[in-house]
Amino acid sequence: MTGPLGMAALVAAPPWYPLHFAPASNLVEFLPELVVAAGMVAVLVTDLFVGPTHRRRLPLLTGLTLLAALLIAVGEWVGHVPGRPVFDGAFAADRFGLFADFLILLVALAVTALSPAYLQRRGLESGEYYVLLLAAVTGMMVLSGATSLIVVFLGIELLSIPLYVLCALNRDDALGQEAAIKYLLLGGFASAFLVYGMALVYGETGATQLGRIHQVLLHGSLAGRTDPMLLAGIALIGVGLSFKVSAAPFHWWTPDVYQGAPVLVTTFMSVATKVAAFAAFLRIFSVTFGTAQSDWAVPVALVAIASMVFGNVVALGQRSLKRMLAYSGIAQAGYVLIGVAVGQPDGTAASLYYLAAYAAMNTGAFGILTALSGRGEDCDDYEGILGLARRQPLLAALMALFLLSLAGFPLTAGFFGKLFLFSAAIHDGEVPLAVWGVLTSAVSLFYYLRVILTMFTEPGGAGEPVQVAGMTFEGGAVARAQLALVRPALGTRALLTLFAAATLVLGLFPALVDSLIQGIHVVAG
Amino acid sequence: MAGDGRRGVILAIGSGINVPLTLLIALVKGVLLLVVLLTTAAYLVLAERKVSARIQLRIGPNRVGPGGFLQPAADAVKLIFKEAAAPEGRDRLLFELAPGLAAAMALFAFATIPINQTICINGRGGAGPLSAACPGGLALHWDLAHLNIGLLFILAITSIGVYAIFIGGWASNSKYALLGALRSSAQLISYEMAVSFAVIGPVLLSGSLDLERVVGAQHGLWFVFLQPLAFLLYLTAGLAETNRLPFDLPEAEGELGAGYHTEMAGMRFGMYFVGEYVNMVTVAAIATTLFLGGWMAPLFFLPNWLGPIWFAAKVGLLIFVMLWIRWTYPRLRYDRLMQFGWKVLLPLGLANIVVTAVFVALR
Amino acid sequence: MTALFGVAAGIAFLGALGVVLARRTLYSALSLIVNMMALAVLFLLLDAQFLAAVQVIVYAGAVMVLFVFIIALLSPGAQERLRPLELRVVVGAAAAVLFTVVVVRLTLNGITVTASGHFHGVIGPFAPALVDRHGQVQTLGEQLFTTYLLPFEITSLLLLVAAVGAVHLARSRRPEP
Repeated sequence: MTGPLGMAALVAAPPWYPLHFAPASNLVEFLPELVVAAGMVAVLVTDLFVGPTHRRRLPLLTGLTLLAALLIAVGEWVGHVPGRPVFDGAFAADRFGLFADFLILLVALAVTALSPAYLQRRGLESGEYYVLLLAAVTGMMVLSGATSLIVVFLGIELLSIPLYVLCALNRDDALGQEAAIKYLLLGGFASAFLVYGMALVYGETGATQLGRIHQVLLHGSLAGRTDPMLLAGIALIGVGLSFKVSAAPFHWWTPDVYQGAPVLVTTFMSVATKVAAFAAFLRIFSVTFGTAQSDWAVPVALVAIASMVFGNVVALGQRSLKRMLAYSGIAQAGYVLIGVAVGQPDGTAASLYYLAAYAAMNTGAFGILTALSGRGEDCDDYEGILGLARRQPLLAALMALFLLSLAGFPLTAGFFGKLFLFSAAIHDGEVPLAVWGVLTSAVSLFYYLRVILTMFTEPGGAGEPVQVAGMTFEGGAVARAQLALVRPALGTRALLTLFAAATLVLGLFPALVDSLIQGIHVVAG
Repeated sequence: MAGDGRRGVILAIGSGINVPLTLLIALVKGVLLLVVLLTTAAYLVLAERKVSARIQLRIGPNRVGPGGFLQPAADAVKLIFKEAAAPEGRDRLLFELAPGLAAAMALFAFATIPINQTICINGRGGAGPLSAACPGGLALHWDLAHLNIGLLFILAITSIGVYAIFIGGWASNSKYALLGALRSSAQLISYEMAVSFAVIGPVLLSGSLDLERVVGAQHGLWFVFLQPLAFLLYLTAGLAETNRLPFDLPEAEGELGAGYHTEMAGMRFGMYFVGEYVNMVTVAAIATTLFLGGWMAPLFFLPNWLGPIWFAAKVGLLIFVMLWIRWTYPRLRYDRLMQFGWKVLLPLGLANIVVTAVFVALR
Repeated sequence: MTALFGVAAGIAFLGALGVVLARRTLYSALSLIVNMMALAVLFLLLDAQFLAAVQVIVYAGAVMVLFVFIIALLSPGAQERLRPLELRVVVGAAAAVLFTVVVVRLTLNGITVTASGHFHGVIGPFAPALVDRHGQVQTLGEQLFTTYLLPFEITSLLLLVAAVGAVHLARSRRPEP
């Protein structure tokens, strides 16, 4: 009876079996993310098992993965409905998230296209680069559709951890190492704020799903009263997200990280991270915490103003192109935050438009620096681009367009982006925000134009210093910096031209994209 | 079913029984366990010397008492009265704490291992592995602390045991000790993974982390027959966890003096020594519980009420195997050891989990 | 039970104090381990046995081992003693006071621990009835594979990516082809 030699009586099925799983149809809504994640694993495995000759196919595999995800996302946009939350309210493939996905995937595609040439020149080729890139894209797409605090946090971590590593892609470069460690430490710090805020919100509402939190705030015991714990939670979440979008005064990591990381990585993270983090920012604040808007609108507006003022003013004094664009990125985050402060639905729509414009123009600007960067180091000095207009007129013209757009010049994407944001602010009665926006935009013109002027100024002969907009260029330094630059291949130039075209289209026919955005309904979860 | 988790935690408190009695029972159980384990550890040293002697065609200790029977007492007296030399520049606090921690953690790990089936006193319903089967009476568990996550408790305590070794080596302010401690900690952490993977098989089959239930689920068929691979993996990794040959790198005499306890003399060394041998008993006892049917009688016609005897017999058998291995195989090289852990044991454990899980899901 | 709670809470408090006040970094780390172990005991008293075990295995056992390794191998010298009116002390104390207020308020705000040690808050997936019926580990496992399936799977992806990143940073350079 009891011995091992008795009849084999296997253990009865455990009491909790079978489980009630979410229906497999939930996976359909998660399909774009799933494709990118699967592609990531495919690249990882391929990299392990193929020889160095075939390793050149990894960018192709990466690109195809991103393209497939993009097509599926387009299909979901066209095919169905305001996406409903799936997986017990953890994730929604609504048009809001899909729009952010489009931007992220397009930027990632462009960066993938720029990668092989840049990595080869810098001797940084490795399969892990593409794995980490795809991982970060997965994290961003998860974040843009996340409708649960847990998934928001996981999305942020999934996009951050690959970026920490990518910053240190060049292990011989002390600046890159410094960037990685700064980003890691401060990123961890910001995550702690975020999680603490989430814990407080969970403690007050008893839910992690944004939809249920929203319901509790609307109808539950918290409806109609100001709860200090909830506010503390919202504030801490705001701090964590502000860090990710690099808004002042949570921006201190940005210049060092943008400058230290390889410019290719900076291109990707300066744009795609911001898009994904703003998607979460808009969804959580404007929709989930929409009922408490009167409580958080003023702090968010203050952060927006601080970012615009600080970013634009400090950018004036930079002698490094990457740092200049980093401070410009801080200022741009301030502009998008105007949309967050204004709230649903005008502010959200304006923010989305600005993010689309930002994706086009900022990817373009950093993309040109990437394309120019040669064997030794990144194209980071004003000396290098002195007189670029004569040597590479196309790139100089494109760069000028991108910078003008960043400044908000008419006929460019940035103009309508800012116009929509400022008018939404005025419409909402937040006139000071619009005023600060216009004033700081005027300031920004100076440093953007300085780059353009530099590109269009002829370098003098040897030993003959040239003066451009308050900067002095020594002949020797100019020659050295210019030798380092390369002439990008035809495909690269075509790609950058495409982004310039997008910048122009967004500036000439704003209705094209705006009509897409106006139909967006943000699902709270 | 699992309601027993709410009934009491540290002590198994039956309903209607006053707390002092439960405390008393726990105290008695604790003292008994301590005495038995320490005695066993002492005699294991003797057993080791005897077995090694036989394997090497010697006789072994035979001077103290009949057949060397009192040798452990002589050893203990020697250890206690030996001068406890200590190195300069040691960390005074940690140097004293670490050996104690080593012994304490080894003893602690035994707390959730059931050595007999639960006996129901004064209650309706018979005895059995489930405490819920004893309404109104006192369910006497044959383990010191009945936790429904008993297995995890053991893993947790083992993971704390690393500190005893590392801190001891570090606090000695000696390079041999530090290197030994480093090696040992790395080895323990690596092989802890293998141990965790190996024990998941029986957990999947029995659907519980409660060791009483795991044993109960082996009624009729011991898991060693369903999980032979996991059993071998556990024994191998268990050997490494106890720092025994062929995995005794931490104290590889030829290279490191005596490893992490090079600088420990007298009872400081004695504590580590006790801890090591108690750990052997624990590893054997866990293997018995998870794979060899615990307290169950080895053949169906033998009486089940001799539970503790069967348990002790199985543990003794496994310990003999461990002694046998030690005196038969040479030491692995350190890099081979790590490679073996990560590249052989771990994948095998993973494969075992996958196969078992598929089996359980399809059942 | 109450006495046990008092002891464990006291040890946890002393451990936490030790983290801040210890002058040698290794002692700080070891104090943190003591604190974590005491917290595990508190979890046990709240009938969260699984959480207690995981607390020890993951935090005290795995994470802190790395801390202790690194600290012991780098052997940093003793910290300079804090002066009571230094800026960081003042700021830290203010933050601690604020945190205490927050926690007390949270406690008064609907989450209470009764004398018998049972936790009454918002009834989530770990409602006592459910845990009683299925057991703790089972309930947790079921929740992980149903309600929290997506976060659970994303976490596994996250760990994979972290491992890839760590290997990439740590391994020796690939030889030139």
